[in-house]
Amino acid sequence: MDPSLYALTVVALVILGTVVLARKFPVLFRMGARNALRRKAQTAVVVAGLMMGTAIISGSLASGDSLEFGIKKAALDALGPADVLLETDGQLHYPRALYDDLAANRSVTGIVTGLSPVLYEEAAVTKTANHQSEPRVSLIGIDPALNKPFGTFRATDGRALDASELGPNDVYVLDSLAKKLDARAGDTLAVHYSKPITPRIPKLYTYNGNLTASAGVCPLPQVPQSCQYVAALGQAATFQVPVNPGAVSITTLVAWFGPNADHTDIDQTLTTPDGTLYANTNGTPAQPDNPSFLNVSGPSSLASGNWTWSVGAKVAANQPFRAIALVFYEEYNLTALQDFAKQAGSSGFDASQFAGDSTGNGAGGETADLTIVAVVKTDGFGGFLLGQNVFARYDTVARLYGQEDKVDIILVSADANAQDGLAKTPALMGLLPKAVNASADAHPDMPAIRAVKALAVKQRFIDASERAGTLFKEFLTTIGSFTVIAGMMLIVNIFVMLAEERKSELGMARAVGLARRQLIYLFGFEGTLYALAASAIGAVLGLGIAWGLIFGFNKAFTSGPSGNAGRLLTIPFHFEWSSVAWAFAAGFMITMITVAIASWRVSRLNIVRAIRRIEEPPKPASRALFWSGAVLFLGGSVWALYGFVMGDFPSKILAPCVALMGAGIVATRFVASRIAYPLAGAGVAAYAGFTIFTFGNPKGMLNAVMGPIRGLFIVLAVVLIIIHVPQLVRLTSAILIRFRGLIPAVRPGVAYPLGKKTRTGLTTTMFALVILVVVAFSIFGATFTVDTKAQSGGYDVEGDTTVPIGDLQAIYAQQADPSQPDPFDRVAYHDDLRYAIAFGGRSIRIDNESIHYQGPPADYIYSYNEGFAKNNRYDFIELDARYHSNREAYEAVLNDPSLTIISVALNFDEEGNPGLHHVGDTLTLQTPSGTASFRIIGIQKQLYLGGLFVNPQVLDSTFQRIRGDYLFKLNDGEDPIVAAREIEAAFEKQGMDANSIEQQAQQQLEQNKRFLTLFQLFLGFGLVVGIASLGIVTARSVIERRQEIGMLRAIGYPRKQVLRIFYIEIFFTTTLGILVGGAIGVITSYGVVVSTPALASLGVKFTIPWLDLAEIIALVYAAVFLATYWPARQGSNVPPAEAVRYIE
Amino acid sequence: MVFESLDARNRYPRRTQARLVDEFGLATSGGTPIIQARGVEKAYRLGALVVPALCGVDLSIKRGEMVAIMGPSGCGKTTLLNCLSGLDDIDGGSIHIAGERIDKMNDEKRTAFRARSMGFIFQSYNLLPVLTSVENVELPLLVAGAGVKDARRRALSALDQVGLLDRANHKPTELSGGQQQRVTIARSLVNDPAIVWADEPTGNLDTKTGAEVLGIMRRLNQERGQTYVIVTHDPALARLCHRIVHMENGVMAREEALVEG
Repeated sequence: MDPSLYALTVVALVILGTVVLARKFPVLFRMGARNALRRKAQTAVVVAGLMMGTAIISGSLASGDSLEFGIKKAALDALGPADVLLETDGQLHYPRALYDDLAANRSVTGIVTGLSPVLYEEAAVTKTANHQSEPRVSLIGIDPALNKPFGTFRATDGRALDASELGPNDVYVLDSLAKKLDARAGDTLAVHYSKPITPRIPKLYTYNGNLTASAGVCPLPQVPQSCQYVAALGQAATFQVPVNPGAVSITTLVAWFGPNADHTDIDQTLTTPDGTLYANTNGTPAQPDNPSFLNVSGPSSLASGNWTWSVGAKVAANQPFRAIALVFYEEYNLTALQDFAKQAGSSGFDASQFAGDSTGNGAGGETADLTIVAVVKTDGFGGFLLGQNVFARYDTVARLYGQEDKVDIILVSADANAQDGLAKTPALMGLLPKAVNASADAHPDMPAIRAVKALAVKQRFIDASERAGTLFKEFLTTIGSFTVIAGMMLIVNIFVMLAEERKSELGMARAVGLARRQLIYLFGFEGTLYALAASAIGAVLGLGIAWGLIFGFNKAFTSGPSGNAGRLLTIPFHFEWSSVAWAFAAGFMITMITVAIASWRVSRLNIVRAIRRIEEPPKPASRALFWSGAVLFLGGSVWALYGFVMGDFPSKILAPCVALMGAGIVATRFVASRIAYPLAGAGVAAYAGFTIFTFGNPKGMLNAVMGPIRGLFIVLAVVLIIIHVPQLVRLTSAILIRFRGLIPAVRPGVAYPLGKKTRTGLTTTMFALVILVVVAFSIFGATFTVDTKAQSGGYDVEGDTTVPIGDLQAIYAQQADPSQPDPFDRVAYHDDLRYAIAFGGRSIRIDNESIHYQGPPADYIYSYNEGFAKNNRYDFIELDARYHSNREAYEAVLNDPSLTIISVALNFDEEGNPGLHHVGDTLTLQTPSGTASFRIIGIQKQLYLGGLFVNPQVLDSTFQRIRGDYLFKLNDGEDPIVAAREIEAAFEKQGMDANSIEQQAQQQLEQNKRFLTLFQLFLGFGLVVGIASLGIVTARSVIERRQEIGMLRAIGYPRKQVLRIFYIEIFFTTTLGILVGGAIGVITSYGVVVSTPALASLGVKFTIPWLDLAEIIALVYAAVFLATYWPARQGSNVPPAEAVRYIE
Repeated sequence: MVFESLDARNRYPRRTQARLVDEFGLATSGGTPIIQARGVEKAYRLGALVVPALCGVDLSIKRGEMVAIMGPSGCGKTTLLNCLSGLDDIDGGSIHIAGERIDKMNDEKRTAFRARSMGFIFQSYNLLPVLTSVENVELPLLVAGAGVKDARRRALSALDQVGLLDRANHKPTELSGGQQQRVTIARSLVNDPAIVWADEPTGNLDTKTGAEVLGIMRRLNQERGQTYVIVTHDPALARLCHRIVHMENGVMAREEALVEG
């Protein structure tokens, strides 16, 4: 059963109980109902005030529902019937043979409804006619017949398209991309691409031997051509070199060591297992620093088996030689690379020119002109993976990228219906890994097949959507909890005032025989009607709040930079009825509990004083109150002891506060409450504040809950102090009487709020709570802001390409358009990086711990050139003591593939606090074919290039899709935005996406600000509660003080002075709330920042955004003025004659 | 006898009739009317229903007179008081106070007029519960533009005149009914008004306390020559006045002049 139904059941039981009581006491019910309907305007205001808390709960839950639904929908739209993707980590290409094997596997074909091999590449495109370009698109090669189960294509004019009609140079373009390019069917699209880099990693074999001449056969110095020295008996000159399947080339090197090294030459031969001979007999002197080479490579793999390698010479005299054979394999195997480096190091061989030798075009890319035959909608397969998609035939893409007979994704569908496919995915996931392994076993010469994994992506997206939705709900309900608490206080305020209004009639009712509990029923009936109306309306209003929040979220998100070849995720508004039910039930129960408490309080009235409307005298501390205080004190003390002994965080925070409050209550027996309560309040505020600075923040949900509770305690404590301090009246009066026109209004205006301590305390607390959170949010937004200089590393422009460009200036020289400005005129220097992205968040572990991602998990692995090592200004939080400068550390990584430097982006804990790991820790990189370990020698302060920095060979030997990243330092005075534009235009063919770093940082800041504003608006509903409360309190005050107003008017107070009295009261209370909430917000934010030392190391400086806070405060005052204007005005217009005789 | 007992607390010298004439231009009886009402009409509208409260009242009150207005409940006594004092509008007739026609004044002028020239004593005291006695008393002075210190000084003096100087810093909830009414009296005279309007000033008090309060009002009337118009049900109070005006059904039924006290 849906859990929300349990909540509704509880509500139903309460309502049933009310109905039963109503039947038993029909007169009381009628009285309660008539009271509720007697003054419609007042009822409307009461309901409006009560519904705020429900609205916030409903808004929070519905927002979470929308996010969850949006991600789920995006997943279903992106994947359609595709339930599982077969791909490698790092999305390497692997043989299409796997698809063939799966298609022939009956147990697979028996349960899948579709299998489709796909090539999924990145490219840049330009519409030739108008040079509109898009630097990052997804070029997707499909087999139309095999891909049909995964969705068809529909043109923008509604026609269904048959992809089998695509020619070898035809493409479909997605509508959003076509719009950007202003392209339509028939246009020519230039596709700029580059073949992927394939690393060749050698296995190293070393041999030693000796050659001598047969005596007299090869006389020095003239040696006949036919003369051949051979190995002396017992000494080797012929070796066996093992070549495994998949080897793509062999390189052998031989060098002499000996006194006659400069008078000899070396000949080598290599013989394949089937007898083919390769030789280098050109008589190389084969010095140690200039060895003799023999290289054998072929269009396809070399024959596997033992190859025979012979070393011979024409001139020798007991010459020792050393021989090294390198057998190269095309693979992404970091372990093999590191093993090769170790072997080379231990054998004294300089391997630098051979390590990570790569084939593939990195020099600038190629261009192919293709024809757009149709612009397609996102329906069907068009929106695959939410990319900016260009669709072509499989063979077209394979030809362009040199990946014939290769794929990088195989789509698998368990059912044509997206939802049913989810249900069948577990069975598929049980079967596919076995099928893949079987295929790998069948093709030992295709090791990449073993690296293929089955990923239940749709299920993962669904799980991620649920997690995201839950997190968002928790976040919103946490920050909204202050509003809910403020709403509860408003309910108490309202019911206390309703009771005041009806004091005499309630007194009369008690006088004629109504029991106290019947008085509770009376208020309870009225409260139930309010609660029902308020909860229902609030639950629905909350949907409006959620709609607004999602609208703002989408606007904020889509206003920023577009990201990597992706259409942005738009969250549709959606809610679950269970969320509405929860909100309704929660709001109803909160109201009913508060009504019950307020009703109980009302039922304690003194009958005579109520009838005669005489104020209740201050009650001396009763025995019940004393013992309650004693229980709180003793219980709190024991609880605190438990907390400190057991180290329980909530107990350590809350228990001493409870004990202190109990002590305050007990003390009222012995000293005046105006002394006891402020002292208790001071103790609670001081202790709770102390814990922020010293106890830090707990992890996870506990932090989410403790934050609001701690804030509430501090606010209540401070308010308790303030309302018992009479000097506050004197101080405020002393300030305001300086304004001559205010003099008659000052004393009444200031004295009234502190004369009604409960009412003022509740209203002030409501305001203070919400102001606290709003201020804290503003401060965190200003404090955790981007320091452009630190993040830019001294560079001004960053350019990004889908493939690395070898020599920027050389490429530019080849393709420069003389009519366009030379971008390098503005550039002082540039440094080149390369990087790869591994999606999924599984690639990196530090000291066996996974990285805690704050956003979508993607690992960025960078390598860099010498220039970057020398020029960059990226400073370190921690640096290995072995390195005396930053440059030394950066250069160490260039020379040693076992070292790494990481950005602080990888160094956060679950809560987002940096400092989790340290220099010296081991970082493990999980690659498609293995695992490799690195030692961390430095942790950078910067977040901009958030990833790890490794040796270039490591990158090349691990990832296939390597992108280029260029950092430009401009000449002084150059405009980075203009420079970025020119750079981008100059390298359009290479798909360069260039941006001013400062502009990007600003955009990020603005996006953050938009999100911050959104959440502040959400919190603003809490302020609405506070302001509504003031409006209600003012309206109530006008009624309560009608006679007094009449008296003031009678003795000569003009209307404007009466109005001033009300406004002094209102603004006094508002200002108290703002000051208390603001001060506590500032102090608690400061405490959070200083209690996290790692933040200081990031250069985070506590910042108060005075202007923003001034704006917020000005808005609050304006809203208060508007909300209270009408009742205050009504009060000032009270006819004196009527008022002095007024009896409610 | 009540007044003789109060003499001991009388800190101010008795003023002779001559001095009253010199200072206020009037005698305790006779002289120019300070309040002149002619043909005053007032009706209350309750939806479609029109309830006449005053049906053409003519009344003249001289300076320094203490006049009681009596009549059964609903006869229009309080309505008449409210109209004469400018607290309420009239539907017909005219009202002159010290030669000024107040029924034609706008609200602002009337309010300012009241601040300068009138004091009020209500049955239910109508003190502000959040202010102390002295703070309540000084309100008329502050609204009339007096400085803060001057207002405080004069308020304390007024409290002293009613014998409550030692209660200056107590709030109304800390005072008895009689003490609260005395604070009200102090407030009514602190700005030295020409006329004091009192609506059932002893209505919420016991006999003894009521008598004390009456004594203070009478003494102040004699010493300061202020005009008192008092609505009351209390015959004992009425007999202390110079004249009793009886109302019935919104009209003046009869007048009764009493022996000077």
